[in-house]
Amino acid sequence: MVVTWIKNLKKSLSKSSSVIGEGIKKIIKSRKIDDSTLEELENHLISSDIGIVFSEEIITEIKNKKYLDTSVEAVKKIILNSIIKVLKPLEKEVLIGKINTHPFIILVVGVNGVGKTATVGKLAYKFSSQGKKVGIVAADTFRAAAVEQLEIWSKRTNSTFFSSKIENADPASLSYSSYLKAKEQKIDILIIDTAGRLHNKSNLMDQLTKIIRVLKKINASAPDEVILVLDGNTGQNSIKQASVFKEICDINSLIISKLDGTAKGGAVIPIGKTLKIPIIGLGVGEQKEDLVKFEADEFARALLDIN
Amino acid sequence: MFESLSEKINETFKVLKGKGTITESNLEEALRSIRIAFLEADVALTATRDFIERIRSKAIGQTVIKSVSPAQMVVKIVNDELIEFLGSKNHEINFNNRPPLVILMAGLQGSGKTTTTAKLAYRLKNKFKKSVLVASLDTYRPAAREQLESLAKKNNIDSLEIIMSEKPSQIVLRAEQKAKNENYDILILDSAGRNHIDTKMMNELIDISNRISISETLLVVDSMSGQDAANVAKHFSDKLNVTGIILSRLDGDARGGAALSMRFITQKPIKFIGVGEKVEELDEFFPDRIASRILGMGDVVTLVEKAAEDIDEEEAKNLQKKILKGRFSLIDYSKQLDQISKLGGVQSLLKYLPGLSNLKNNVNESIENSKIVEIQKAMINSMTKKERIFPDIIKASRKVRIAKGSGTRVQDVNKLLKQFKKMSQMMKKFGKNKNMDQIMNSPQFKNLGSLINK
Repeated sequence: MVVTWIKNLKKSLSKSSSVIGEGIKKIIKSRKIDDSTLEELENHLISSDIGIVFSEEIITEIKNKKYLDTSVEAVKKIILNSIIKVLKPLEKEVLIGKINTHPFIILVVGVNGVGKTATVGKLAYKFSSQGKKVGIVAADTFRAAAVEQLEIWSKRTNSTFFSSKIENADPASLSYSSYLKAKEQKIDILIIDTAGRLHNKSNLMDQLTKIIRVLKKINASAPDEVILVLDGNTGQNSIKQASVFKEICDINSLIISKLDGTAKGGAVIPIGKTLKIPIIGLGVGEQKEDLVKFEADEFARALLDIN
Repeated sequence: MFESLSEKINETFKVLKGKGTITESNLEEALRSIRIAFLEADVALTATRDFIERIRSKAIGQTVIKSVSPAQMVVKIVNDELIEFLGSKNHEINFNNRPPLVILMAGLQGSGKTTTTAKLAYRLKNKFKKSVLVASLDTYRPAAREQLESLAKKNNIDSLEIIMSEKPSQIVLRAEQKAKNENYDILILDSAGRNHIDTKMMNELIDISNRISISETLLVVDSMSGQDAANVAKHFSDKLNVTGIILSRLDGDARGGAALSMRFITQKPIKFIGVGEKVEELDEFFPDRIASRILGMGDVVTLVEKAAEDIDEEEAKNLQKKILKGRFSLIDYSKQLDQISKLGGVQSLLKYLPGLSNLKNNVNESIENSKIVEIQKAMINSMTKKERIFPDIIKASRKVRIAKGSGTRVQDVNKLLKQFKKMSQMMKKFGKNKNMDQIMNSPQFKNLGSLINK
């Protein structure tokens, strides 16, 4: 099981890692480490979306090493360790096991097009294949055919489907009634898929707080988990998205989607540094099983092409 | 949308300000800041490098000119280069081919293709009076075809009926047939989102584009894209004959560096930008405007156009002359208040003005909603003509009269007069000193926001 996901992740990150890894090799090999080499290295790090500040930090660390081993491996190692140091504390299990509240409520949020609905489907699959009774709520009542899309996912994953028959229904009232129904039906985990919204549109963000408010009427500790889905292709704006969503709906986990392209997902590093939001999964494909656990070591190694 | 990048670059130019000539070392300093600003704005590394090199060679070549300050010179060079980078003309859809004109939409998953397809269809139908048919080739994502169909229905756009069992290659042919038989001007094909390194999916797209004659292939790119946008653009444009770019989600707060990367990598024009969730929120892309916006030099063109629509040009010119000469009376001030409200309030005005984008944050949003403009106008209307031209003659009893006439208090009249005085002082400075930044950074100006607000 563990081996498969590492393979999956490696396969999916290999396109990008080979680029980064190769790049580092090319820059450092057969050159002395001077300012221009370091600057190139810095540029290179930045181009993996890990951000200016962190790149500068890594470069400074290399500069400050008194007896610097200038081999490619040694330099890579320094970079690797810096990345692991940031990411290690962010590892988080996808809950499960000790569910006390019934149902366990997961709210999935994010901007448009990051892959929320597919992520909800993959989460549902994960839990239902662990023998849990899963329910999915189609609270994206805005986007055309979003409900239909999710309904297909619920069939694929043997989940109970909750939706509203009214077009453009109020997502908060749908969430509320679904919560009650799920309680009656003894559902273990209820996943609420929300409409995509740009974090700078306050009216849409208000709608999100309303969903949380009504859930709290049933159970003050709900939702148990608020997951922000970030697109691995997004650059420095990810940080803004994460901080705004955190402020508004107190997200407690991240899932980084679409890491099966050449995107590096490097933006999780500045997010990890500044916001310290744990990462519970990485999306690496379009199939229902394409959600892998996040492991800092592997992620960093795959990113830098180190075995 | 591009404010963040402009703010960064403004910071950069502060480094250059106050230095006599461009020396190699202060140029390096500036270039480094520009480079960082660009990278932070998600401009791809390759594009950034190329850009910096261009600036360097131009700047060094021009050090001989002594009449301008180094800062002005670099601003000019960066601006010119940005415009060149982004392309210098606006491009519409090419209508020259024989109908039905086929437009293929391509891009990564979640870049906004389906919404953009509906927006483009809406635009072509309503602005250009074309008959448009849309068809979704997305047989992969659950309910993707239904999404386009329902968007089309909502906006009275014709869509190809869905046959669930069909493959994309079959849908294409059926769509073309229908477009031909029923004399549609335009057929827009919404393809499935695909990963650019997914060979199978990319081949499918190539196959589709070989099956029928396609006049435009538009690549839809999320403006929030990071450094990888460059790879995406390269893969797509290598494999397909991409004729243009559409940048989606520019209503977000991303720095929008993807615009630069796209142009650099594909060399194709950015044709449209998506600026909202509604079907009519697709705008033309004007490279020159965006360039000056990135630089924080203001979307002057847009302002001028907007102003020309709403405001008598002569009047505006006269006012400007008066401002520059420092002969600015309360009559002019009152006219100015009128124009501000015509242009959509202080906030939207500031957005367009050079160097003011960073001030926008200082001005409280409540100005817009407040009735201050109206109240001030009432006070001015309660004055005699002489008072309006020579406000200095307004003393105690006149103040009482004005307050009574306008339903305000003497304190309010005082406030108006004080504000007007500061403003006309500033206007005088404006006239004498061409260096906007000095004015913008002057304490009086910074207080303006709070003054208006009080």
